Amino acid sequence: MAISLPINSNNGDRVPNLVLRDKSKMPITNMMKIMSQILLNNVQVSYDTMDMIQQSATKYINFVTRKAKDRCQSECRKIMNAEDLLWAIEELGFNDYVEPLTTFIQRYRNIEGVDLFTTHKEPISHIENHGPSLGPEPNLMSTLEMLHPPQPPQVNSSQPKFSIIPNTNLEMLYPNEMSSTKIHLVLVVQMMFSTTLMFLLSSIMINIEMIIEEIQLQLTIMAMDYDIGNK
Amino acid sequence: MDQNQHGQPTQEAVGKNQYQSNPMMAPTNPPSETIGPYVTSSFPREKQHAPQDIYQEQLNNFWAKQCQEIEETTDLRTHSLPYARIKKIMKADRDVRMVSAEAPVLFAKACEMFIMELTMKAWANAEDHRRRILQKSDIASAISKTDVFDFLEDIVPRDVGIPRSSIAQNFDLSMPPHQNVTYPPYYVPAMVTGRPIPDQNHHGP
Repeated sequence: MAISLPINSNNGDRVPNLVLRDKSKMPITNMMKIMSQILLNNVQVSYDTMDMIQQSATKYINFVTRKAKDRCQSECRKIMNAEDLLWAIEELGFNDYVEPLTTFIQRYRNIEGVDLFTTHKEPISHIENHGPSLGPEPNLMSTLEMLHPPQPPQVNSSQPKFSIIPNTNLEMLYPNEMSSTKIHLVLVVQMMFSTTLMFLLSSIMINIEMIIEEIQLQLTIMAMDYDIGNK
Repeated sequence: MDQNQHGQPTQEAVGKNQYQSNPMMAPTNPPSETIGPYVTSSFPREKQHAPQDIYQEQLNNFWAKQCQEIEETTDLRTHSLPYARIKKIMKADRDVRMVSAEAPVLFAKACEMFIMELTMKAWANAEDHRRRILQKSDIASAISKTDVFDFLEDIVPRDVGIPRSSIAQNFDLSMPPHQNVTYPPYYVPAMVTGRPIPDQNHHGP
């Protein structure tokens, strides 16, 4: 029977190979553990060699999977099972693998048969999973409460006010109370006020004198320019 | 065209007895330099054939040990390769949509044996050259010596120095003794010219 394959299948095979090299590969730690069973203790493996064996293992899975897919498609089945892989492994020439794998899968079914039926829709759990690919997802805090204690601003509205007492007040205070302390306080306040006023006025006068000098300089410069312009 | 008739799809997997003699392996590279006694006292002190004897004995015992380990292992859940990663690699092919639970389990064991076999042959090559560090050239020579590893030719770097003509010669030389084993022809050349669709249809139904 002639089965027509789509033309895009050849183009589709190239894209996953690029993805495989970047994202999904066999973990190196697990491969080192397997290789240590074969090699002696004093034999070392370079990094380039590990990368090459890593690519070889990944390509082996792709190679066998592609062959098993052909059988699934020829028999119009959508689920790839262990028998398809065993058939593909034998077809591709790995004859020594078939007997150990057949024994392995039979013992696996005898031991894990009950568990497979109960956990049909759940992934198989790893007891000793050296490379966990699915880590626990962290839960983000949905409610973040920011506490702002209310702090009322303290405003002191009390301001000291000095008022100059006229001479009439002095005459009023003098006959009423004979205390000399208050009279002295009033005099001291007047003297302080007058000295402050004199200081301010003197500083203002200095500023005015400086401004006048600058204006005179500008006028002389303008006059000189005017004379040069005429000549 | 007619070479694929031997590969008929049968649901019953039949294992072949190849533990006494393995015709796939034919060590034709004699050791170039033999300096001093290298083998321990448990083996005969033949300078030229000692490494090959160790290699052959290890290779013959490898598959027997695998069967024993599988039968003796009580807990089959302890695996050295993660199932989720294998399943992800299998699904990289867009046509593969659904995979049963047993397929990654079987692949984990198959891939483990594949890594062991590749490492063992690479180490044999390293010992032939009296080296203690596995290098890319060891993997490359192991791939070129074995016929079933032809699908790995494109990852062999050309800097290692294995010309294409030698690979072709190895394939031509290995054809007469392996008449029973047939390989898909589109994997032999480096350039993939397309899949022979009518060849696969013969043993399909």
